[in-house]
Amino acid sequence: MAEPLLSIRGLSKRFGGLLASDRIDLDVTRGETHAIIGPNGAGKTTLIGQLAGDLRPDAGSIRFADQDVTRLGAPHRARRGLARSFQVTSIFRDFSALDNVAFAVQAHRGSSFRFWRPARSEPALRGPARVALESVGLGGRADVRAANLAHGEQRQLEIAMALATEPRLLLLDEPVAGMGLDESQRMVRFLSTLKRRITIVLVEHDMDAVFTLADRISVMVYGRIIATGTPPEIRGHDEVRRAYLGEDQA
Amino acid sequence: MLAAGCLVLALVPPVAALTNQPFYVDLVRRMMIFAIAAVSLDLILGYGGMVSFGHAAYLGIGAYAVGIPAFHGIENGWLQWGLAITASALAALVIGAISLRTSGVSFIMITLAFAQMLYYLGISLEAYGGDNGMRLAGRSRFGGLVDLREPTVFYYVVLAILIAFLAFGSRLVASRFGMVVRAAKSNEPRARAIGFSPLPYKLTAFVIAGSGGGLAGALLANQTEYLTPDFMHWTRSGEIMFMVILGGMGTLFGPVIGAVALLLLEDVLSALTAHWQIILGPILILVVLFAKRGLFGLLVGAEARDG
Repeated sequence: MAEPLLSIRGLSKRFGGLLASDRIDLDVTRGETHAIIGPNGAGKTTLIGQLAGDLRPDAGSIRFADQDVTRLGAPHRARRGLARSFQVTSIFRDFSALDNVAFAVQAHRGSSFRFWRPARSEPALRGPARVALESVGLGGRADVRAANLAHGEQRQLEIAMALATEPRLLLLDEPVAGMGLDESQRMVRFLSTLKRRITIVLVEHDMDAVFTLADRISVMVYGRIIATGTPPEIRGHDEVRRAYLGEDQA
Repeated sequence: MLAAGCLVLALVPPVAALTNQPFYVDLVRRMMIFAIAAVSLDLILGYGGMVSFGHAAYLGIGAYAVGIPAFHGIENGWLQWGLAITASALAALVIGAISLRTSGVSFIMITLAFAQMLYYLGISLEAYGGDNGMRLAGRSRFGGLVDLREPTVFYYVVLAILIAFLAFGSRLVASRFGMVVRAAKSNEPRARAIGFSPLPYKLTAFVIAGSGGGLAGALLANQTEYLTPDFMHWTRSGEIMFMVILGGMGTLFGPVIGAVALLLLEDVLSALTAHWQIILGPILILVVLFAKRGLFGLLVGAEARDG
């Protein structure tokens, strides 16, 4: 059997007295959408930080695309095909929507130590950026300054930026957080078409979104993964119901 | 606007000659030299978010790179100016490599500390006048090509360098490289998550800005025909920063307007009263508070960009 796309072994991270990641083992296989859920303070954000390369684990290893990336920083992991969205929308507010996406393409197409030719006149950057913008439904908003986009549009823009880099793995940190019902339903519909062509790790509080999208779910509590399984398995899991689902899912 | 600005600047010498006010050639030339320094600072301050409080250091290095060879009888301008650019680039490389590991207030303080170190180094150079400085033995020579002793010729050389530097800057900020520097200012975690390690780009920008400052320093030594460690004093760094903020950070022509406006204000106000800084201070505060993109923003609109 092929090696999983992402493979985490014994990952531990301590902040003072708090064990935010407690010997986490997790495999994400190619093509699946793997959701990570858990109550606030369970350590999801810390886990995402270590996956993305912003935080260095105290112990354990992370393998991604057949390489040990444990010691690599975020830019190196991004260039190996790990793209992410942030919990709080993170875009270049002064750039236009198209500039944002074109800049993401730029990171993966050749050297950026080029000083003379205007980046906005490079078809190799603008073309793929337009395609990615169209794919998230922002084609008509290409020239709008990112700061002036609606909140939901900014979240879509973030995903377009991630997609434009043709990533192997997409790390989505609460993609529907702060969205209205309409917006979030549209986003879930979009992600459910997207998941057919890309491997996704999804951290999300919205249980409707999680159970609609996820092929497998891992449940985190107090820095540990207490269960991993298909949505029906997780729904039926006693410990999970006690620890977490009980309060939301009557 | 660029064309109009160039035309006005190009017309200064003939108008000054007609009105018999040669003093203005000198004043505007001085403004343009500081404009070059301010534009070079804005490349990192406005576009890169690097609040370097030691930009006068490069001005000083450039000036000494002209003054010291001249003192020893080497008056070749190509050599002097080349040395000014190379030496200030090297200094910027060292200063940037260390200071860019920090950010915020630490970055400001480290760049300030380096500039002050160079200031005291200048004072300790007894052979070159110590804290009194020294007269420049003679303006840089470029064979028969141009004669900088001729005020008008020198004026047009400075104008040409300013225009070339602005053209270079406008290409630079719109290039791939420029996008990385601006993106790192706007949202560094995002730039990293996309796949950019900002440090090499920021350091390169820092070195480019330093060489621009060095070039301005070489011109300034020729302008004043005198050089002193005061070129590197932290108040001078503050003055260049004021020009950028007054004119409009993150624009290319803003710092030019800022340099002209600040030196003009100094000139006009100091003729009125010895306490002219009491008037200058509030004006600067008002601009910072109410003009988002400085004077450039007031003239052209706060949302406008020039590259």
